[in-house]
Amino acid sequence: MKFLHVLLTAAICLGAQNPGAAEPVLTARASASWVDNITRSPYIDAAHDAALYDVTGVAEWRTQVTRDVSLQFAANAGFESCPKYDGLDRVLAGVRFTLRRKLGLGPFAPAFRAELSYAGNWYRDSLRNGTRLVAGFSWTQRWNDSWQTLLSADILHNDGHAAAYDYHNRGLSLEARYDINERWELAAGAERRWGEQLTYAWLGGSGATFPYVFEIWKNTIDIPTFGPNWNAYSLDARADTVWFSISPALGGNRSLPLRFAQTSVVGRGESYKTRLISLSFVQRF
Amino acid sequence: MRPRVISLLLGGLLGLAAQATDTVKVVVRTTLDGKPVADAVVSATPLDHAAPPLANAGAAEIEQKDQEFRPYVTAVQAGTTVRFPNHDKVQHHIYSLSKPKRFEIPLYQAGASESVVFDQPGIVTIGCNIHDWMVAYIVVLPTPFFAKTDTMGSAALPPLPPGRYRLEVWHPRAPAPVGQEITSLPEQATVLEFSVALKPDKRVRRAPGGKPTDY
Repeated sequence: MKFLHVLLTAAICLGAQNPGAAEPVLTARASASWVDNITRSPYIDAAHDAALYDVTGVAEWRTQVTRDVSLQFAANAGFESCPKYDGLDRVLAGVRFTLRRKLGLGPFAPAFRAELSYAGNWYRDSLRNGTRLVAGFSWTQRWNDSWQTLLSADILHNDGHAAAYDYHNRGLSLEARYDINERWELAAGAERRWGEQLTYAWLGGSGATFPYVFEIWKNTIDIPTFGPNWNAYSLDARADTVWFSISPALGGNRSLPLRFAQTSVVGRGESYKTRLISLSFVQRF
Repeated sequence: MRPRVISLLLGGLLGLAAQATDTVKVVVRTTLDGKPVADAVVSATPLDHAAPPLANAGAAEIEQKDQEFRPYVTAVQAGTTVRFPNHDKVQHHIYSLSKPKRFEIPLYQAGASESVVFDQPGIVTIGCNIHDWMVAYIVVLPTPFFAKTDTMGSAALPPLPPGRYRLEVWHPRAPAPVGQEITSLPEQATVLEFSVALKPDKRVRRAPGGKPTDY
């Protein structure tokens, strides 16, 4: 919490230094998602699907420090609900700092960002409560009126009440955006993450071979989220995500993106996939 | 872009009830479906004599409002001062990389305003270095005889002294300006119609994006 306090203090100082830029840009998002393996389980009989509904609001302050450098501070808060597994219901709140440097003028000038975000999650299943710290860099380049690419790298550290929810990993991602016209946008991306992946197993018939699994599972704990006999653990693995989205703009300040993502997790002899389909409504005020 | 003279008639022929004038009216439509084209700049440059100089200091304004430039297209005579007030509560950073006028103005405070003199004829594209979707055009002309089409695709030039003129129509989405020579006679009303083939309206997307759940 000390870290959060430092971030908030810095944000207040930033706003006070430049009152002309004190007006935040507000954005709200509501999403409905379906995940085919929300239990993130390598075992078929333990791979359960569920729907997630979330609403998030973001307030973003931006101030130009020099011609090429700007600072952004964003505060976000939201709620996510999973009717099938209500232990996953959560309230989230966080802050994000971004230092952006644009090399030159105009939309085709490359932009580099260093970003630090810190968020808290409060779940109905309180074992999952914790914080998430992400630090990353990205390079954005618009190539012409239609094409834009984003290359980014980050490290993530999740701190939970239970040890299984303490995990960290790092990722590298590339995404490409193609604006068909001012209304329609196609985007696709790929991401690879290395490190610990939060995974679950149902011990009531998961097919896990004991005690072998305990050699590769880390920080295993019993969890009530999905019912009796479920375990959560950290798995050293590689997670590859590919995603695709199509996003119609509904005017200049709102859009309706439809996104499909598939993540394949492979590590220590275990592997599983999760697929996510999500429809969002995004409104900038 | 194909110009077509609809009528070039003396006042009496144009309509008995109509007042005889010496103005030129231009209507611009799309080639594809005949829809009216707004924001086209119509100008008449004298061929027999020098264009009259800028009558006074001249001033125009392009504001930043709702994170857009307003108006989208502005026509001015060379030498005109254009003001750029920031009427938003967010920062803007206006720039132009166009040859007739290169400049950049940081407008970091809400309510801030700066002015730029546009002294060389040509097309000046302006943008905001913070909000990439913001774009506007300033058409700097060597003549005071110009007008911008309205939503009906119609523009009426100021009264032209008698003589020969090069009439040009420019639009941001037209591949090139098109024109024709006209002769202005006393007591004459001229109506010209132009058909323009417009390129697709390619602008940087403004709508917000972002990722859904991080589950």
